[in-house]
Amino acid sequence: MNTDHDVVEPLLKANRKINKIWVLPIVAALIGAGMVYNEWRNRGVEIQISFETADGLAVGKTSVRYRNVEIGTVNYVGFTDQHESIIAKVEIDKSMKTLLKPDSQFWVVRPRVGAGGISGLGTLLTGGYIELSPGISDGLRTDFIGLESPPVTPANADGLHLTLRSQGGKPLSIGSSVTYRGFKVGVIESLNFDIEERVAFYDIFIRSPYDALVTSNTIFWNSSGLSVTANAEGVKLSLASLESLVEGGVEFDVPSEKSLGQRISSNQTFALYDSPEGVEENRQYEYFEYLVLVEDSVGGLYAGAPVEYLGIRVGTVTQPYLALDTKLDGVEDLQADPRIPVLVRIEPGRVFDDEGADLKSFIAELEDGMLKGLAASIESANMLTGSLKVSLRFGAEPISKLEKYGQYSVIPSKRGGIKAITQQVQDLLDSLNSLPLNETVARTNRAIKTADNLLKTVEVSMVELQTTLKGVQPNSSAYQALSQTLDEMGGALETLQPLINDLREHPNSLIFGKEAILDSEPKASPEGGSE
Amino acid sequence: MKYRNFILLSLCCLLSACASTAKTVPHTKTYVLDSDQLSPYSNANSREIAIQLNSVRVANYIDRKALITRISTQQVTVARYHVWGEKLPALIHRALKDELNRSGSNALFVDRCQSCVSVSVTVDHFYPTDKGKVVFAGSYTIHQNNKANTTVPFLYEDNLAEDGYQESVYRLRGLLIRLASNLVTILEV
Repeated sequence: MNTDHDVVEPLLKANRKINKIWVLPIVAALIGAGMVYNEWRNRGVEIQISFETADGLAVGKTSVRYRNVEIGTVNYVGFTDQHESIIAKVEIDKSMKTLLKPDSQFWVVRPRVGAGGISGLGTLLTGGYIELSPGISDGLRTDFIGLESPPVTPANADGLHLTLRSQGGKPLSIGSSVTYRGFKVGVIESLNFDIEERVAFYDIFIRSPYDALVTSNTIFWNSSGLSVTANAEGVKLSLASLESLVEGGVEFDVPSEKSLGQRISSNQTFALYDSPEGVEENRQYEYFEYLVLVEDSVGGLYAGAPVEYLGIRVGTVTQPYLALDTKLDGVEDLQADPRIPVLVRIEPGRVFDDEGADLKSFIAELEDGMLKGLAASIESANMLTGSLKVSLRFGAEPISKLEKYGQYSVIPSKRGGIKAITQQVQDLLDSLNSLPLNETVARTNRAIKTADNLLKTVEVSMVELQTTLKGVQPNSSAYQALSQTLDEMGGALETLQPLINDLREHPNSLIFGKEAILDSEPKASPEGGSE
Repeated sequence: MKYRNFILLSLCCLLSACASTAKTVPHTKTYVLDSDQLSPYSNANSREIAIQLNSVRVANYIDRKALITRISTQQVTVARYHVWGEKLPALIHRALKDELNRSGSNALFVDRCQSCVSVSVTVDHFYPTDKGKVVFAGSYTIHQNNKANTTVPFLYEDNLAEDGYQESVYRLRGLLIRLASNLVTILEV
């Protein structure tokens, strides 16, 4: 194999020496790697916060602060994909990573003027910055939605968060006070209007230790503005505070007639009433609906008007006029039946305690009363405003069966007091109109004139009579003359008495005379008289 | 003719009555209780005390025009021709007031005065009797301000020295003087 060409191949020996020049790049590479590692190790946490606008944000300039200590810087400001909002990318110091909780809040601090005062004036010179309010939950979050305004309460504040449900009334605003007997104990954090339910929800925060004041029997009411109450005791003007007059407010308390109840420790929803007096009025009760077919006018009857039994409220008017389909059983059009169907709720809970309210037994008793003569009538609730109410009372004719009108049972009705009084007044006015008043007045005038003349005559007569009586008074000469005459007549009659006696004893002595009988005079005493 | 004779006869009868003489009728005598002395009271203007003498009340059986005489315990007779010159209460009042003013020297007895002591006299008996006596009895009452009234009965009698009502009235007047003296003593005036 090796005969043709005996060629010896060269022995190649590798040069194993490395040029010293390579030391420098290697050292440089090692230094660079160390720097990269150090940079990586000290690099902050990058988060992104979305805002509606970039007002006050500037890349590289706007800082992120916590308790006014700079903990990061805005690196990027740009739009989202749909350009609906802006995104600010922020690098937070690594040591501040623990502040990035899922419920941490960010907002841009800029000058603001509102009902709560003026804030952020310092940013006029220094420029705006992003404020961080760390959350309280566990975990790490890097994607946040920034607040457009500062949070009313810090997320980590100690207290109680509640939700109030209001069906209307005076509006409230974020930051409005929550007071307990005039003392500010919390604020309204947020508000939301539910379009579906058409009610407003207010998130409130009550700071510790005043959260202990909220119990299961606590009621909340809107204390906004002035409250003027006029009743038999006079006019009462109440104002929770000047602040509540400007920006509204909420007040809460436990009604004096109720116990404190259980303490509330977690978020719950309470009803927000227009006033403390309206708690009982607007409280939601279990109810049964009835119809009252009214013959009177329902002008002045409104939804929410009271239904009373002998002055005790037992229900509420739901609809002053209920239009039902005439095809329903018992429903007729207004031409056939001119009575106005008024829908009312009978609410036993208004009369009995929650524990004692037995709806079925109450309704059974009510319907039994209807059969025995319980009837509804429209009466005046307020003579000043002309508002009406439905009044239940006995006095109607008993019935054998309750009337049905559509799906509703009908409470028998009778003419109300107002209508009855109006009718009586009308009858009285008709009677008065039919009276011959003109003739009567003319006669009366003539009689008065005659009586006046008569009185004048009597007056003159009285004067004359007084003059006459003065003439016959004991001191008057006429009286004395008369008295003297009478005395003389008495004396004369006494003198005639012997003559009368003689004539009676001797009638003929008048003609023939009679021998005079001398008086028997007293005789002298045998003993003689004294000197 | 027949009637003419009858009329003439009647006129003759009447004419015969005119011819009859009247029987002897005594004159009626009138009496008063005046005092013997009709001179004014002495120092009447200087008396400091005034006492009111009220009207005298007289029992009805003696309050008459004619004088009476008691002829037995339960019977009186009324004179026909002897009468009082005035109502008896007025006569007694005037006579008693006259004697009181003459008896007292410090007080003036008047018919009416203000806020003064007053004296009322009631007369039950004031007549002569057929036994030769005159009787004056009754009571007097002294009314003093702020004090209880004081009523005192009195009875005065006297004998008649002569017959007749003249003497009786004179003696009755004497009994009035005795009552006046008694009152002045009682009133200390």
